[in-house]
Amino acid sequence: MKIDGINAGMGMDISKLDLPMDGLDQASGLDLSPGMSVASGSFNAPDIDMEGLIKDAVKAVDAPQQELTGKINNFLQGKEELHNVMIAAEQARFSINFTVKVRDKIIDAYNTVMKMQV
Amino acid sequence: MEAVDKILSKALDTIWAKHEAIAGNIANSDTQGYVRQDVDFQGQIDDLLKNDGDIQNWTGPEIQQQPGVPIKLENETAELSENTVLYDSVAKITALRMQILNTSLGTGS
Amino acid sequence: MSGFLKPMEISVSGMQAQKEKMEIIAANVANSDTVMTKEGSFYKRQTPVFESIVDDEGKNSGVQVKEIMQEASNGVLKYEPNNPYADQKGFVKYPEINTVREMTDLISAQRAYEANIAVASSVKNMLSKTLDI
Repeated sequence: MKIDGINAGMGMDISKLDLPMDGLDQASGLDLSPGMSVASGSFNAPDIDMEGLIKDAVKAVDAPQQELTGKINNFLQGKEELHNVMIAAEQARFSINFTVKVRDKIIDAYNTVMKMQV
Repeated sequence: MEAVDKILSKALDTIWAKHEAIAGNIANSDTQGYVRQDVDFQGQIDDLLKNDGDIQNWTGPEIQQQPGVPIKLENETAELSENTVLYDSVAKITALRMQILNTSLGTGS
Repeated sequence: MSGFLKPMEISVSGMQAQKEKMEIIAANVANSDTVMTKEGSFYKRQTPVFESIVDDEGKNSGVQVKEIMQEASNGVLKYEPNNPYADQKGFVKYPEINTVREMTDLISAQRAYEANIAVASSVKNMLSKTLDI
């Protein structure tokens, strides 16, 4: 995934950020592996698969939701502990908040890039 | 609104109905001839899960009569506590689920 | 769910009924030596008769005191020839009231009263959790 445009739009080189990439990968479901092209300075037309990104984001949120629904059903049957349900709920909440933030950032960056005069 | 939301809402109705039954048992602990009432929460949940939360002609949770079962205050107060905790748990779970739905729709704060 | 505050209503009726029962017990104890009442005889032990209340939809709505029963009794004879109420043989009829039994009944009424309070508390607790949804 080429993110030159994203780097330009966000005004930073995200590969240089000290982010726990594995955790982010898992939580967001997006592939943020460092195997991406980060040549800052060279400007290409944005090559971002927006549809793919959004689909990924939706998928990322779905897994914890399914997990939560499963745990809720089990709890109601007396087969699951309440604290596990609470934890699953918080995880689902975290993942959706995170995904929404990433999505927003990506969209902002995209828009910024698209507005740029060539 | 998914199945789980329908189930949660009916679960709350059921727990509330059970609370009414317990309240009636306690108030009538001295009433001659009063028949103990109860609600089978687990049975209701099993039904709901089988039907994804949609039960045909749902008129509310089923209240069972238990003739011959004596009303003992210690048992009723124990059931009362348990039912209160159950209600609080399910209410909290419902609240969290609503928050998540709101966030995903962007309708939350 | 017929009434949002139904369990509260039910528990309040229970508290009321038990309170009346406690008052009747107090009257029994206070009158355990009453040899002559307005009705012209010795005091007869009283007990409340409870009945459950049912609302228009046929659902249980609590309890109430249907009536106060007087127990039939032949009284307890005591030889008191100087008592103005003594009969020709010098006997006076005293109420058949066992204080120990009344105390036991009182404790049980108190327990029931407290259990009804527990119901009301639990409803308040659940209501506040509901508002968080």
